[in-house]
Amino acid sequence: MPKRSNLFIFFLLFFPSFSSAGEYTIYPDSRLTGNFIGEYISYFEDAKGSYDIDDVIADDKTVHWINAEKPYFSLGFTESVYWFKVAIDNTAPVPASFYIEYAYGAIDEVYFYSSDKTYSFMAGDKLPFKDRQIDNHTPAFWVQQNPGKQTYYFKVRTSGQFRVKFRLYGLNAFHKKMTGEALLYGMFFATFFIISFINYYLSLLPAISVLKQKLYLTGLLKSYFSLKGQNEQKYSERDVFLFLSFLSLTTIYNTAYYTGFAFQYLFQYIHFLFPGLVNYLFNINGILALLCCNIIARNFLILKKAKPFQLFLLWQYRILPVFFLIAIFVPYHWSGIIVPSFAVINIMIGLMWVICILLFSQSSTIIKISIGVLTFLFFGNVLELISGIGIINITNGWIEWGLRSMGIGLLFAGILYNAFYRFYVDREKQEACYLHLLRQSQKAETEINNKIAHEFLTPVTAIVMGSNRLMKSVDLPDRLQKTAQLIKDQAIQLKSLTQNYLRVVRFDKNQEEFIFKPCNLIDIIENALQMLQSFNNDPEYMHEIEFQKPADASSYHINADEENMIIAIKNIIQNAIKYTQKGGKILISLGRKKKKVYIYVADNGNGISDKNKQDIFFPFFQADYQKDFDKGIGLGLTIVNRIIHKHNGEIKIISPLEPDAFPGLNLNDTRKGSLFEICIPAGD
Amino acid sequence: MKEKIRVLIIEDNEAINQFIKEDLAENGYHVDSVYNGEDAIQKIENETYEIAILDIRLKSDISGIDILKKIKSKKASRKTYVIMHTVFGAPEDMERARRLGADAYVAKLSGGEEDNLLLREADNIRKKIHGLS
Repeated sequence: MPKRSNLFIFFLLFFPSFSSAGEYTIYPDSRLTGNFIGEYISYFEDAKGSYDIDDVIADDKTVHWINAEKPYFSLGFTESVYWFKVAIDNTAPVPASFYIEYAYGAIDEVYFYSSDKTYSFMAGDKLPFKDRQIDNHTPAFWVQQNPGKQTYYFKVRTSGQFRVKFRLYGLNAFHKKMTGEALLYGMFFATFFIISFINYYLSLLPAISVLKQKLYLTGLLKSYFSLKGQNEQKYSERDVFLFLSFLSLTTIYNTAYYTGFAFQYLFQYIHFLFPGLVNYLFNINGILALLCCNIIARNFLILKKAKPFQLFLLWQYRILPVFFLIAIFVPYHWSGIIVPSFAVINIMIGLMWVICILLFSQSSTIIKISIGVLTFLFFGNVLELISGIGIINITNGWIEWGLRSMGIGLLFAGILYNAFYRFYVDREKQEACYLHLLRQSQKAETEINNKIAHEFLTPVTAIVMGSNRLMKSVDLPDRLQKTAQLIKDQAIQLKSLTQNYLRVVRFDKNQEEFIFKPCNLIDIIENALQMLQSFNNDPEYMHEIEFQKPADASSYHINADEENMIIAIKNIIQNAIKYTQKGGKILISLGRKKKKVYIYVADNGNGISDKNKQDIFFPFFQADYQKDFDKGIGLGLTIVNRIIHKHNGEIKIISPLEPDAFPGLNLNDTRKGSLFEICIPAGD
Repeated sequence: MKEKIRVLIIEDNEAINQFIKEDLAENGYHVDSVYNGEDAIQKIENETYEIAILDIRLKSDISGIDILKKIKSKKASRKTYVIMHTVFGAPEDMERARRLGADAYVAKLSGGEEDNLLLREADNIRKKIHGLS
């Protein structure tokens, strides 16, 4: 360094360049929006640190001031003090207010003075810069200057290299910058936080319902764990639990991260007043959240149930807190390496995450939105990387806003897509899954019913056959013959109940296949009547059953499943037999109107009340007057109804009957009569 | 006296198997009976029967339908009359059996008369066979 005695010679030699330093004109005020004023700054190195402000002002002409001639510039490498000088000319007729900001200088202390000593500030921590919290490095000095010229001095102490970045802000511009930035960033991160939280919450909702409603389990697993080459049956509840935990981890992490950001920017002023406070809070917040994640992650690693890429994701939560810790305690002159490497690691993690997701998943809403979020984070990290290694100055530059907007755009696109997907596609998918499950469970239920019914039917059939054989043996006494008959009757009743039950179950589950063939209604009725012969011979009934066979048999062709149609007709007539008092009369007749055939089954029983007419076709319905009788479990007409509807037919009940509707029935007050009218499309 | 018609009963319920067997034997048939699909296949492969009475839902690994297919696919046993028999006559079972070549299907609409129906079917077949020969 030049000795002080030589400075004057230097000053003389460089006088012309000194005079060209000029002054910075601040009027009009609105021009001051963060302008770098490096070109107007002169500096000199006070290697011994022996100057104070009075010396500098007194020796102004003898000190060898060097003109920087650059908007901003670097100095340092020596453990010394630097003095800066800038002359500002307020050409306005009124006093001007402005801020001088010293941005991002790695300095220990900066003292600020005005030439008339009106102002004298000191900024910086008590700690040397290298031991100081990273964020605390942008002091701004408020100045009010009367019309005319004023020279300002800065005394800067440093232990390393630093950049000289002085900027001037008009009062309005500075406040705008602070509030604008705070609001913009604050709102942005708050919005981001809220949206991402809602998003995660939305994603969590159906997953939570998994645990509540096991029926959804398979369906959701199918949606969320649709990994290649594996089907949903391989996933257990533990997998769901693991998956839920990933979501929770990510939620906790992101919540902490973005709340931190939001607070940091929203409390820019607090940050300004109490440098480092918010930053500490933010970092502590992040570390606590990550430690929680770490604990959960460790638990899952112990479970060792996770798949490779899941393990990777879990390890991420174990590694990140370490970096946070490093970032918080690392001396600043290391941060030049730490920040970019942190960004690089983040980018790598993000990329690997995306790759893993793309490799291992097919289509999941969660995954898509994760990619959106990660893309956003990716741009953020790239941004940090660029600024960290100082390739370009991007502060307030278009690149920064371009990258951020791109991230935000992608994020919102992802969210919109997610919302759309959730409300339209996912819901359909879930419904389909639900229906699929429902059908499966119905199928299983039918299987069980089938099995039970068959298990019942086989021994009952054996009993019927056994009693048949007993009755056939001639050497059996009459008394025992009758007992055999009773056993047989009871077994047949049990058998027909079971068969009916099985049939209803099959109808309900749409399992009964109908095989339609051309057949004649008259044959069907005769078949049914034949089956009921022995039933009607019961002393309890002994009705007169009359089938008024039409002469024109060819008019009564129908397309029907013959077996089922016989069952339907049989059940209707059997119903008439059961609910008509002993010795009644049952009339069966046919009719044809255009393309339809009609079957009429009329009886002179008690009649059917209006209420019963509505309920009669429901399963297990029994008429209230049935208490006296033991007539079955109320499935006969249910089966009739289903069979007739399968044939596109209709059933109508008319009761009581007009006294002269069917003269043969001899209707009266106790025998009010009822009519079942069945209508089926004709076969020709 | 014409030769006795040979009948094979394939029915896993012992009681039902026994009753059908007795009924048919009393009515002049030569009756063999087995309780599972494996034995049935063995019998079919080694002997010739005019009639087979086949339970459609056997509890063994080989179902009634499998046996029906076996009978109808072999040259030696193709002419055997097959009467399908089951405790619950599901139409799709009947249709399937019919398509696979079953000659009769004893439906259970009658309630308590399946043994008699079986016998009637067997008698019809016997008449047919004797009439033809």
